[in-house]
Amino acid sequence: MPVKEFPELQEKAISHFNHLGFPGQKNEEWKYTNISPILSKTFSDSILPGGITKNEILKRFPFIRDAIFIVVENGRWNREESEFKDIPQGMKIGYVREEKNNPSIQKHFNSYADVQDDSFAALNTAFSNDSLLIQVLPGSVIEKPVFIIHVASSDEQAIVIHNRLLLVAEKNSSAKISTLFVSKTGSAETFTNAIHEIFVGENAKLEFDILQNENEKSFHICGTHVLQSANSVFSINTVSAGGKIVKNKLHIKLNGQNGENHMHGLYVASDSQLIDNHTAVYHAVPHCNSNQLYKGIIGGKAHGVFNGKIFVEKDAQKTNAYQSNKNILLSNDAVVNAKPQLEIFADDVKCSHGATTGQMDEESLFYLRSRGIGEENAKSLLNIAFANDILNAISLESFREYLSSLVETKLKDTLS
Amino acid sequence: MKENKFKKNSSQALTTQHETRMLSIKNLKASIGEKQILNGINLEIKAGEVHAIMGPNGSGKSTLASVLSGRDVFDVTGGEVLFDGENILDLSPEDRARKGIFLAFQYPVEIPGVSNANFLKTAVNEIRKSKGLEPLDSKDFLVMMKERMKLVEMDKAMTQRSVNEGFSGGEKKRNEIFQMAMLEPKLCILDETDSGLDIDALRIVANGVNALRSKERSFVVITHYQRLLDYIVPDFVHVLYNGRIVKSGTKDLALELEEKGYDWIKEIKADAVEFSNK
Repeated sequence: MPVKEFPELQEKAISHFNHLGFPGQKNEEWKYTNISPILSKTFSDSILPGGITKNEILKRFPFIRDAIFIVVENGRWNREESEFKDIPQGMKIGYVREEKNNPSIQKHFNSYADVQDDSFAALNTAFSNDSLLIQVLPGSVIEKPVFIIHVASSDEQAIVIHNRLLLVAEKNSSAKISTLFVSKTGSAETFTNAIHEIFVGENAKLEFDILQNENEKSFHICGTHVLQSANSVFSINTVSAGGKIVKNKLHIKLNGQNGENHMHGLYVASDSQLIDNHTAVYHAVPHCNSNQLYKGIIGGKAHGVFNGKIFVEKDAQKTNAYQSNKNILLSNDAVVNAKPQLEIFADDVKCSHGATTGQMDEESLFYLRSRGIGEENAKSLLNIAFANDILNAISLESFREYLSSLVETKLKDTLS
Repeated sequence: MKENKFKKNSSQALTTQHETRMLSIKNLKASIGEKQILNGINLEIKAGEVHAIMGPNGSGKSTLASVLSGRDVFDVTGGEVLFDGENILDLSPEDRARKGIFLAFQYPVEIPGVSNANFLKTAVNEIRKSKGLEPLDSKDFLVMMKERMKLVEMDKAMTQRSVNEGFSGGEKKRNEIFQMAMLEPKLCILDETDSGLDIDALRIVANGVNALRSKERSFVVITHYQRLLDYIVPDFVHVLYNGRIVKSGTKDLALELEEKGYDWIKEIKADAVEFSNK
């Protein structure tokens, strides 16, 4: 066992977990997501040496060539295969444990994840080893994109991986961070349990993108907890494509006036995949805007879940909160459970939510076919268009194009 | 030897005959659900001809257009449609398009997220592929697009936008004719292309259509009003009522309809039924 990074926090987290146990389907947050397939397996938490190289990474993800990238293999930062020599001034990348005495870091670390209430957050806190820190210093505008590439890899043994990130965008700063979760080619079963804690300071602007594309045997649970200050703008784009079970929890608290956020999510599920997105936005103060759009394309016998909550507290007057969830079912056996939820305690607010689930639009399909475009191609065009509505929110063009072709390939495989 | 030669000649003669008769609709019947809409339509169209189909609301005009283009919400319950001598009723919409049938929609569909240019390039190249031609590369496609855009006064921005998304009524109809110009069909079916157009947009659309008229290309112009036919002058005018062509004539028939309305057509029909009952 490696040395514990934060012995006290970790002991506490273990006792929280012992108290909580694993959630069952009677727990509202886990109603549609049965984790018994995960619990029935024995996962080892021994840290396996990786062996992935920078060249392999660059070959697979050519769009990161000119970016800063951090390679995290099985929860451990592989510094040798990462590219972080030219970290721009105004940005710090390192281990949280090295900044233990930094008051800003002390304030944020382990402050937003719901360690007391969520078994997986507790487990993550108890067992993560290399808690990563990205800090954008006050007033720094970082143009260079930063990628965190999480690679899950195991030759035989099923392993559990705890990834942890603390991302702090200080006052008046701006940055774009993208995090990818993938499997090493041919990897055995893995279970990734990730936590992102994000602080967006006053007047800061942050884009955070997540791609989940681990292999078909993998389990993935990801909690993202965000605190937004006054006048901040936060965008998060979550693209989920690979994995046997993927469960996302996204909690954002708007804690300062004139905060704004944009949450986009795309999930493309086929075969017997289950992809579950639970979001919650808390409007704690007046004059904030939140927008969320989640879209799903579900084929085969796959299952999509969307549960979005908006809370508007009594003082949060002049809130604008929008939420929309749209799903396309590609087969008769595909299932979606969508549940939007509003809890509003203020009286001067604009809130709306809606969820639609349906087949592909027949009118559009006929229109394309009437121009000589074959049925399969026409369906693919429509699906990509549906997905691009989300992908267009990703500001890095080369990353967006990569995601678009990834989705296109997956849809072609699903449709044929 | 002599026999062979004779056979060859006779088959050539047959082909020639088919070539002149591009579309041949014989006793076509179609329904939607329980409701029969087309009650036996007969129509012959030769290459290069423009046929207008007029008629009151609900007479089956748009149904005819949909059935010809392969819309599967309608069930064909009888008759046949020969296009270049081949029955097309069992063909998919895309196969009909590849053979050269084009429908300009009454209500063009908005497709967010698919750019007009990308959509058309896919369509043009699928049609080329079906003819055994190489796909057009981006440069040739752009040149072609630029040239055809002029026909309906389209600007570049319209080709970059999503298909019909946020287009005005006039822009949507111009986009239909633009697509027609790009796909170079043999048979163009215009389904109430004049509906919702102001006089300027109508003129642009009609100019586009007239520029595309040729000896090889035929048109079926479906319209409720005579106005469009001032711009696109038809060779023949047919009146559809209760799913049948009840009267055919030249462009003068359209003027007569404009003057008298459709009621007298309904009466003619009623008389005819009465007469046949006797």
